[in-house]
Amino acid sequence: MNIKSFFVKTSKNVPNNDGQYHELVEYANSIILRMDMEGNITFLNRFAQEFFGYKEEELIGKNVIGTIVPPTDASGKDLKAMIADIMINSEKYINNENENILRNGKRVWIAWTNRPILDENGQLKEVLCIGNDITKLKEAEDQIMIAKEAAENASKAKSSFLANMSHELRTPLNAVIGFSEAMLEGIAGPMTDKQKEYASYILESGRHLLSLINDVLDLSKVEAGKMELELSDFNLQELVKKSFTFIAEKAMKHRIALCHDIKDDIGIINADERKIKQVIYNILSNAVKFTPDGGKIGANASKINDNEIQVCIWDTGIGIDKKDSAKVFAEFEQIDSEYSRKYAGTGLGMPLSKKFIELHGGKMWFESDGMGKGAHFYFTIPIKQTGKKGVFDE
Amino acid sequence: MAGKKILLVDDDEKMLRLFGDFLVSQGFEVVEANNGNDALRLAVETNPNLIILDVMMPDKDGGEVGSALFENNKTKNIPIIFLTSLVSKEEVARTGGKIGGRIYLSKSSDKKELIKKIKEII
Repeated sequence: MNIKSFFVKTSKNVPNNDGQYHELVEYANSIILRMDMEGNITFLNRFAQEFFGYKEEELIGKNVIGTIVPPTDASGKDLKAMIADIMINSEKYINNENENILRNGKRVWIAWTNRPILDENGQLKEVLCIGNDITKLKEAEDQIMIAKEAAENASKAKSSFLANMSHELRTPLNAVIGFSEAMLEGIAGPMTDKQKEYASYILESGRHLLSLINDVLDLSKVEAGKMELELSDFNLQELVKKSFTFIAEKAMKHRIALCHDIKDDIGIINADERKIKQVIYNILSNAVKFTPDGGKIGANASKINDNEIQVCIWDTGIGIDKKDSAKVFAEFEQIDSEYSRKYAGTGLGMPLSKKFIELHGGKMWFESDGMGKGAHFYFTIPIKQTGKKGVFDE
Repeated sequence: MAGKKILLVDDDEKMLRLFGDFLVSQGFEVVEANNGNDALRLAVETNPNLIILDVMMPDKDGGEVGSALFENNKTKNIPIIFLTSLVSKEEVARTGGKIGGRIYLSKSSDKKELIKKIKEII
């Protein structure tokens, strides 16, 4: 179809005289009206009459202010000034949303298209206004804004709650840890061996509780989106090697063999060293906890592609039953068995580790062939963090 | 250490006892204050070599006391270590123990860490 025939064809469907145009305007499903330079209504279609609740003769010649436009909107915006401005800066108002008022006093929101109509000298003569009711849309928008504000306030409350809790929980613990430490250091004078033993239990339990509190706060921070990564360049191979020294003493006591095979090409990565250290430490301390005497714990790591390293920490321990696999990364869950009482823990180490890895854009999972078959814990970590620093902070 | 004077400020009497006794055992002379106003007065009266300042205190918090000390010509050159239970020692390690150029330590930090910081300053 060429352009000419297109026009010929379509022109058949378009009103060809003023009468038909008039009909189209009158019965259009939109508000159509014209107002002069003073804001006096010179025309309004039937839809507009029904919509606003006026008869034609009640509005023709009347000013929009005081009839269909309230002098100020619900937020206090001066609509009288706005109408005056439409006549001066009409180009600013070609698409405009404002509040209007019905005859029965109900306020509505209308999306207007305002077309300036010029006289033969190019001076503004009238404005043609075509409007659609968007009250429901506005109400929904307001609801969303209210909900958003409520959510933001809740998030702020949560943050300040966290800050307060961290202070309130740590303050008494600082006394428990501090004084038992001071007693063991002999600051309060010499103690008997029994007293030293008891004081060391207080200290040990206090430290355990403090690390639990720190984990809970860390986890809450991650969930509130407030946990930031402190990125630096470090040697992952060194970090894994160093982490093994944490468990070396315990492993020796239980005759557990330690072996790590980290490829030399891994070298430097850019990540949050403290968090990665915590992840490795959490996996290793679980491994040493759940591996019976005479077992083995090991680690290997290698590049799986240009920007990713995969680390695997394995043990020959008690393993994980299929039915318990969902609990491994669930918060406050410990697999319920004869071991859960034997191996006290916070139940937060693994979920927190997984979140730390995910903050880096990596993945964490485990594989186990079942009870008594040991476990392999894996995580992947990008060599470089491509996102901005301090991601996840809103 | 002999003759070095430390003004220790904490609203918690237990913390004053804990850190006070520890600092005395390390050979320091210790002046104690359990609120911000006393801290400001004692800083002028006793002219300590160092002030160890708790952050969260009712009435005047550590930050306010710190800026008041800084605004007073008689006390503005006295170094301050902020001591707070607001953060864990891991968080302190992450920020290098400094916020806005001021030294701060977690109350759960090792005592050796505190002594190290004190010795760096006085």
